[in-house]
Amino acid sequence: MDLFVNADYNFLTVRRTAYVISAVLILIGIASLVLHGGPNYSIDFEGGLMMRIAFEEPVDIGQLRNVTGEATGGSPEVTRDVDEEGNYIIRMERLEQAEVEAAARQIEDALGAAFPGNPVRIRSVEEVGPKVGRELRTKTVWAVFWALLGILIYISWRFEFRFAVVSVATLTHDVLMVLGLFSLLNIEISLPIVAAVLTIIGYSLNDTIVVLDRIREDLKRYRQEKFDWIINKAINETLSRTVVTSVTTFIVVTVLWLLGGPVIHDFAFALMAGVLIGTYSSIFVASPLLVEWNLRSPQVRTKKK
Amino acid sequence: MTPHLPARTFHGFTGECAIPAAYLSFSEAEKSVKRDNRFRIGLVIVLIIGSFWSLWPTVRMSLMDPQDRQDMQELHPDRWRDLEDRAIQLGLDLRGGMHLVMEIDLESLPPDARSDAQERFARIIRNRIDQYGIAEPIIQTQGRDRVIIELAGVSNPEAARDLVGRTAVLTYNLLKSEEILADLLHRMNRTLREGLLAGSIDRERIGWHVVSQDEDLFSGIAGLDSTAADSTAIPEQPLNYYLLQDPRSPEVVWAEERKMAWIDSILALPEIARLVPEDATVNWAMWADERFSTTDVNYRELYLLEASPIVTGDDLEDAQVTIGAPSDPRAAGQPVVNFRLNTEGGRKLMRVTRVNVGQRMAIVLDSRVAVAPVIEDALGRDARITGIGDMDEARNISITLRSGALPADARIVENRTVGPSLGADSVRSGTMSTLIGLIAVIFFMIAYYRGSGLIADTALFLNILFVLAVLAGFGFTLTLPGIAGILLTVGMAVDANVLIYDRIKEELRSGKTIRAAVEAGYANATSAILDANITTLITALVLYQFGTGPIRGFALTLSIGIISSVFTALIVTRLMFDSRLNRPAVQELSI
Repeated sequence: MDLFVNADYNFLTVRRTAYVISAVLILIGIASLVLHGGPNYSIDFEGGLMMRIAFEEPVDIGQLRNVTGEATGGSPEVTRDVDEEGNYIIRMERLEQAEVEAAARQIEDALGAAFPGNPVRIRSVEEVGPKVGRELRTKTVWAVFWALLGILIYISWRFEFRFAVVSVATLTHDVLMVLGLFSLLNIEISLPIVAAVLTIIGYSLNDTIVVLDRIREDLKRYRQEKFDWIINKAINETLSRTVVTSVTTFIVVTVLWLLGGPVIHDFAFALMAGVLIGTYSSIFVASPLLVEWNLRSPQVRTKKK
Repeated sequence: MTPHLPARTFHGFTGECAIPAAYLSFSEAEKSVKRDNRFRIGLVIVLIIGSFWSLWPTVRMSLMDPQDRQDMQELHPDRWRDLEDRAIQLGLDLRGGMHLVMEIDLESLPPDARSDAQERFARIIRNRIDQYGIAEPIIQTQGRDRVIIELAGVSNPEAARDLVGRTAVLTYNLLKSEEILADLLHRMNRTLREGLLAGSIDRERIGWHVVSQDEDLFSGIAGLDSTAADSTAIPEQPLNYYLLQDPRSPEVVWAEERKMAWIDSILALPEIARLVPEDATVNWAMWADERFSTTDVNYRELYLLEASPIVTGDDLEDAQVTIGAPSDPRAAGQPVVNFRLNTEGGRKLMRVTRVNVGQRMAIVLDSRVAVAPVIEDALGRDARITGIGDMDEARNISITLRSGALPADARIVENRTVGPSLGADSVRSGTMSTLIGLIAVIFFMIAYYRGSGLIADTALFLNILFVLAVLAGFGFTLTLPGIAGILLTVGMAVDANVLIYDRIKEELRSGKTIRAAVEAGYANATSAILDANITTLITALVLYQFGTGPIRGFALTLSIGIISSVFTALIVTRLMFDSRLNRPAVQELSI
């Protein structure tokens, strides 16, 4: 089977449309972030309690909310878990250290009493003290920073500084989009989601680099051609590979999303979004940015050896 | 940093994409290909065999039926442990368990007690965990005031609070006399025998089916009736199946560590518990005794103590390790633990020890005996323990003393607990999605690349094999995100092959011969493959550095997967292409 043989789409003519699409999507995301008062951090970063529980028989979620609220004296967020009927998630955020230590037990005791004849099982408990939450937040910011710095250095060394800046700009674009999307869908930013975002960075970069590698090659092969012609050609030449890899990766993360179970449901979803956004950005954002840059300050074609 | 790859396939780095010089003189290139390939084929075969070898314990363990597994756990615990160690370790999120981070309140301690507060706290925790009979706990210190505790198979939050909620209790207790001990053992034997004969004792609970089949080296000394090896017969002294006693010093009783839980069950039986004098308690040693233990089997001493303590940790002011002065007749050059009591404590200790010289006195932390030396003289405020085996043991004893004297407050600042059912669900859904994802990708590759798709699929299998083998071989832990990492590797591993195949197709279209197209395809795709994967590797490594537990597992499988996929794409699939192309008259390439 062959797809995109001798593809000759003109990606660069639609680049302005792509900028508009990207800008609009990112702005919507940022607007959502602002309206929600920042990212929706999970207990990993806020401190708090998260319990997964399983009732024999489904219960009224409102009643569950009242019972757990009364037991803890707070306002827990109760949602249905994604796997089976009767499974719920209870979340309480921004708790003090003492509250974190007490809440799980209070809830457990109250559930047994409030739903007699409907045994409840605690599937998992996560308690994070406020101090640990703050530390994790700092650690995460540094992790993303080091990842981006490492990439910037590696690409500057292997390619050119210009390529590196464009790659990091593209990654920032991808991360902003994913964060915006999560804010819109009200998905919490937890440690696994951060891991997913870092993976998206890696994946999107993978895509971008394949195109950049081809550009690097074509710049040397077609010395007489115009810069934007070469870039468009490189995108076309790598198009079939970009699509095939995206398809296979998208297949596996979709399977993970559908069948991977409740614990990695959101994680898999983040990866799905990331694969789509990463593929889009390497075609419509990264390379066009190189062209823009070149239009404003044409670069020396190849580095002298 | 120059990635190490044979120069033959390595052209991207200079940016030259002209046909490599190698096939200008074709026959020579072919010769070098053949010589080169022998080494590579050898390498690949060694790696594959090594992987199977590394995965064998895992396979064996997962194929074992539950009965065999239980038998092995009970009858050959050492062999079972060995098998477990060599199999892939599952993370707490998959096997169920508890991950706790405790923070010690250093502010509440006097400044000179802060430096070893972590160590003392860890000692208390370790000692308590031992009493719960939890296997393979992980207890690590972090920073200067945190202790990380990982307990597999524990998911009861109350247990955690119990671990830290209680204040450590340290006491000094005299041992009961030899006569009282002998009398107690005698009556226990009788009651146990009666109970076993009458069938009123649950044999399963006390491990009777296991111990009665054991061949005991000491049975001769202890006067065990040799005909009683038949499990249906009950010997005169059934306790001899559990406890060991040296006839020359009958006040010392000890047992194999694996039997501790059964002995505790026996002691908990109401008819047995009744026999223990009211003013006495039965306590285990805190650690295995090196005098009895061998490399395979650990033994611990069991003590019968006076229930009321002479002094407690409140009376203890300090404990330190020193080395005995050369002039010291009892401890020249030997480690010594010195301890100091307050005035009141010193007076109490003096009163009791004066009349008990020659007896043993136990130092007990949270009902485990740290050490039980013989009282040589009347002891006062300042006393010392000599005759300690080595410096480590001395340090352990002194830490134990100090942990009872200077208890530190600690809080649970992080608790992540996964119940066994959610863990099992995760294993199931993780395995299921990996299989389905794998099958989907395999079919996709065959549909898209036909014959060459099969080559890529072989590489895919090898990738999974290598990732799992590295996990097992290096004792890494597999977590649920780790499984996701493997699956993601499946999706991304084909990328390298896709890059190569697309390049080959392109070269074929430009009119090259099959052989030249394959050669050029690999040559030109190499730089993209390396650059793309090294950058992904950078993010995976950062993730590993930053993450804990489950996330580390993800970064780990992803990293191994990336390295392995580069290897399989550049070496393994290349070999497969070469072997095809070396056949005479290759007219067509199915790609």
